Amino acid sequence: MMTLARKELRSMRPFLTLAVFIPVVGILYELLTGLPHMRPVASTVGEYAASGWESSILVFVVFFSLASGLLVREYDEGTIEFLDALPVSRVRIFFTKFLLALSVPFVLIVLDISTVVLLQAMSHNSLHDTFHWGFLATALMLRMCQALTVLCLGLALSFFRRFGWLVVGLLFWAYLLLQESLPAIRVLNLFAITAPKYDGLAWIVPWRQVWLQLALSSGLLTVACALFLGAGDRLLRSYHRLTNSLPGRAALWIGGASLFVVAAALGYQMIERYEEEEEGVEVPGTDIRIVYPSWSTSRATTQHYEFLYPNNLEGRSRQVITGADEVHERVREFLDAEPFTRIVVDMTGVSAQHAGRAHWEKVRIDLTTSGDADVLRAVLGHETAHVYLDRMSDSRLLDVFDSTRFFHEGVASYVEYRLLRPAEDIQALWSVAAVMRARKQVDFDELVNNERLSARLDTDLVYPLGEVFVEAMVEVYGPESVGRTTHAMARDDAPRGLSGQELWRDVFQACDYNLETVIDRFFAKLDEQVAEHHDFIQALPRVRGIVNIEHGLITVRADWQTLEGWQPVCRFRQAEDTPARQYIWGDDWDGEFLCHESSFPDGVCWYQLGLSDGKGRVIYEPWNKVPVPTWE
Amino acid sequence: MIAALIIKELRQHWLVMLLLGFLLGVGFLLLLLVVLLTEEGSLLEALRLFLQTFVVLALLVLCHRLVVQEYQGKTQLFLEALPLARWRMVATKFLLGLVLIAAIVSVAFGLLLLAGQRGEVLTGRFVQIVAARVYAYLLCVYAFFFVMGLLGRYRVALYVVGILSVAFLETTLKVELARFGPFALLNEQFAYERNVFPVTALFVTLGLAAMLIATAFGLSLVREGSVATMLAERMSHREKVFVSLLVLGFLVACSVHDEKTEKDPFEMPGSVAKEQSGITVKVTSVGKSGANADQRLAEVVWTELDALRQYLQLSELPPVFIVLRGDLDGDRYERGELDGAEGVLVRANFTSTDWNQQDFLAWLVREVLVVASDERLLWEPRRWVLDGFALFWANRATLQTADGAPRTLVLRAAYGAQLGLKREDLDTWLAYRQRVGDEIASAVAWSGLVWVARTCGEAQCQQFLRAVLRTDIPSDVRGWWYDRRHPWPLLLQQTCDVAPEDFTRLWLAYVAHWQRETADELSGVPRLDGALHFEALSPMTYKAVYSLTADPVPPNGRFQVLHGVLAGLDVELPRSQVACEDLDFTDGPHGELPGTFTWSTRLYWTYAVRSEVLGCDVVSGWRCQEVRP
Repeated sequence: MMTLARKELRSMRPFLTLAVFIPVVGILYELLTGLPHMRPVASTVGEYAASGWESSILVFVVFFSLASGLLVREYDEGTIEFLDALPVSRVRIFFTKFLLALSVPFVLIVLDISTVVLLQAMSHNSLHDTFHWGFLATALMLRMCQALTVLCLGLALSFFRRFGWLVVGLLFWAYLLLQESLPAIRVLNLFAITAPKYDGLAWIVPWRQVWLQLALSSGLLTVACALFLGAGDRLLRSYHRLTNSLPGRAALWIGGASLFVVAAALGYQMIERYEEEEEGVEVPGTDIRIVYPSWSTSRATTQHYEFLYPNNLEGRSRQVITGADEVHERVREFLDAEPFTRIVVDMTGVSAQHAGRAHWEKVRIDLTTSGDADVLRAVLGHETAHVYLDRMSDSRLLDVFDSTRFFHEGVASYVEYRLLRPAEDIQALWSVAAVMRARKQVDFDELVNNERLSARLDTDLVYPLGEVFVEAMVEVYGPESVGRTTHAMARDDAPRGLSGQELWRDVFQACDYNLETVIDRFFAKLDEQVAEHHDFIQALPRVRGIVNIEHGLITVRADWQTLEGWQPVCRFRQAEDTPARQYIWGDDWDGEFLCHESSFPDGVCWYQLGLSDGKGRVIYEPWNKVPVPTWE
Repeated sequence: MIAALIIKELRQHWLVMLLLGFLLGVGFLLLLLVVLLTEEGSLLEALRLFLQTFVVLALLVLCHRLVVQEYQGKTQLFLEALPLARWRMVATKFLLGLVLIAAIVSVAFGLLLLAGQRGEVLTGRFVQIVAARVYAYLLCVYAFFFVMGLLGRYRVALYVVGILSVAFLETTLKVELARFGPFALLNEQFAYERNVFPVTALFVTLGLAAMLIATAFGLSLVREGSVATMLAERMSHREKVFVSLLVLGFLVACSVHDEKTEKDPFEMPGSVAKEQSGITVKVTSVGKSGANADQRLAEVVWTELDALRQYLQLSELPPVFIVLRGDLDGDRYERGELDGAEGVLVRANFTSTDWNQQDFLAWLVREVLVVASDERLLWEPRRWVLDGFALFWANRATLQTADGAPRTLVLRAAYGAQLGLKREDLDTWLAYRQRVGDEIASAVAWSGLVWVARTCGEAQCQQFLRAVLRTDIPSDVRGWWYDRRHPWPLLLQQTCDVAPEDFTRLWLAYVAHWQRETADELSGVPRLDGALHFEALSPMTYKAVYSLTADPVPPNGRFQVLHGVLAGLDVELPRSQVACEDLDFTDGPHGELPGTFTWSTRLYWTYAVRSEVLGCDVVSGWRCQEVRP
């Protein structure tokens, strides 16, 4: 038995070396590149104890690779015969291999956590005076749980040989697909389990996820064990018998073709169903669903655009098409850009999220969002501005979208409201910015970090705040500054890898502008808007949420002083980084918003209350979170 | 003969190919649905994802079957015995795999074109551009995996090195791989670029493909194919160790290499500057205070920093950039985000009527020292010296005057002592700061330095400060070692010849004297105490109820509740993230905070009252409290 263990350890040496090497490099990095006595546990757990997406993927690749070769190598190299000759059962061999394989993640995780402990020992002070042993133990347990699932998955799929990776690919995309419509599927997310969620100073253990993944691991382990014990041999022999006879080959062909036909039919069905659903768009916060039947499409070409539109909305489409070139010219002149060949405008679809969307040289506009041709033309101008910004910046703005989104949307909104809409329309947009400023919610660092803004407040704030920023920029450096800064993004000698304020400082500096001056003007303009909308800000109540969790339902009651024309809205999300399209809109029951507890298997539910005027203006409170019981 | 070879390959791999086709079909459908659900602008996005994910995995499998297995099993020796040139055998294998994968991709491409007719303008040129991207990419990636298959036993190590190299190039060297050859072909413009062929990317990709194909043929033909045969053999133990060391060496090199992003040093166009003797100060007010006023401020700050450098014998100081921020209060200053080496960016409202230059200079000196030391001076065991030094420096002129120290600082220090000051508070300085507030703590620390200067002499005090506030210690483990080996009591003993016990005893007595002397004045300064408790609105939601005790009652009748929510394991919040509720004491010292708080949220809070006597806020003490009933 010991000999077997030694032999296995020898074969696992490269992985064990890696498991030691990675944390040791981490420790060396800490010691050689920074002050190790300024790294208390609060600042290191995110890097070493918990495991974010990137490190989870690395962990997945390493452990899956380890598991892929653990059992089948014996078959592939013919050494299984030698093992069979030993006075040890295959079950014992299997579990010896499995347990020793677990030592690889164990070593890696323990060393990672030791890094945290070492740095805390060096950084110990009167505020950071504890090692948070409970937190670290939870980290160890959850990361081991993750590693166990990955190992078991790898072992079970290892008999597919290299096809195992393809199967993993399929599982991954199937998960992403299901996540779009079935939030509860997150319970199977291998990576979410190691992202810490806090209950005070403790890490909330997502027991539902843990048990389910452990159950899954047991199942996978059983499959792997069965295959290793002989089912694999038998399958292989059956397969060879099948391929050696004509009827067998025919059966395989027919079986394969049938599978393909079934998959294709299923796919077709799903697309059909999706298309049917696509015809209807739910208006957030209401029971209204806009539905119109599918119609054939027509095309129209102008000097600068190529339009696709549904025949049933021809009248509305025509109104957009008439005057489209004028819109284009106004946008182009403002941005001081060279014209280029036609932009494709697809007006055949409807969208639950956006009135319009730009993709490089193509724009999609949802004609159902408004019956007013001026509004639709303004949307066209907004999207055209996006197309030009991407083109002028050689898509650099897109490369660092997290840092540039406010500018992208700010310029497009400026174009939309200043060039294409009546002057009074902008007041609604500015009022949102003014409320946020009055509530001390505007932070420029956050504005240039879309991820942070979305995590804390509202991703759509980039429209009003971005617009005010562009106003400030135009006021300080003139309208040409928008084009100049956009071009500066694409300059050949621009340093790479910058983000946030660092990026914008570099861009402004390249244009001989001072970013700080524009920021100063930006806040001054916001303060002007606060004064301008003083009455509105005073009248607008704050909304407080009162949360209850009972009978599998999460209820958020909006506590607010009613204001005529305004209604509370509430949305939920699973995590800080959940994309906006996956937010769950709470069903409104007399001012109470409901959501199923099962949608939050991580143990945390994020909710956000806001007030909507029913005309597209929604003013949100910051996101809040509540721990959700996960032990049921 | 070639036909026979093809039939042999098909017979050998037909089931694998069938399975591959099936899995790819399922994968393609999945991607198509994801693209539909996420409202991408074009169905062709599904093709891009398909090429980036499933096709790459499929090529890994396919080339393993076609190449690795053939050479590892040495079955190519049978093929070599056939009356067929070796290159034809390799070419047949190569083309067979390529045709198979190209056929699958073509089916996917064709289906998408058919499905996309409703929402796409499918011009000939557009289809040509997409097709050029697809097939050039496919050829290159296929050739890559084919070559890797021929590299036999080294392929895994090369995959590891390859992946690490890509990560290294992208993250450390900031090379934009997304804009290079095959990666650029599948960029975000893939499904939307209708007019321009990505000529450079196409040439690079095809060139790369040609090189890879040449390498593949070279490997399989050189020395009658013996190189490929040799490579296909399993590694010996010695080889494994050697290759592992090589990979690890590469890993170390990647980890240690930390090249900074090259960018222009920070500049402020339109600013006035004072640059001399290696000290740079730039000020801009965008014309609001006039160039002369900006210049004056730059001169004052420069003079101050120059004196500081000489006083502490600092080798260099980071450049200072001061920007006007009209929306800030005159007594609020903000540090902007700048890379340490770039300098100290300061936002302040120096046109405000509340502007206090001396106060600003004290704050700025501290920030400059923090940046110059890479934040090493913030280490708790010597933090009190830094906090005290900022005030000590700003008020150094008063040391020589007969009537002594500034009254407000004396009062603050006495108030700090009144709240309780012990020898241990110097070792747990961060906790003391939380208990009495930053401004009071700084004044207490200042009083310690004043005692040293007055008792031991200014020259000795200067020596002590030079030793404690050194900024030339390396910012790595050596910095930790230095700090451990040179604690402030040791430095005090060495420079001032005062035993630490004597220092604390005499200094505390000194402050106690001030305390007695200022007792009357301090009697009007409120001492704050209070609590925050939580009342349930629901089992998950609570309201926070405050109750303040102030003795005496705040003179102006107002008080503040400062609060913020702590994230993660944090124990304090920067002031910018702290919310402030300004309340009237006459309305009652009890009440509710706005908003609701959820179970287990950690609140960081204190009460604060402005004291005109002390010229600063007094606090009840910052506390971290979990929301629990």
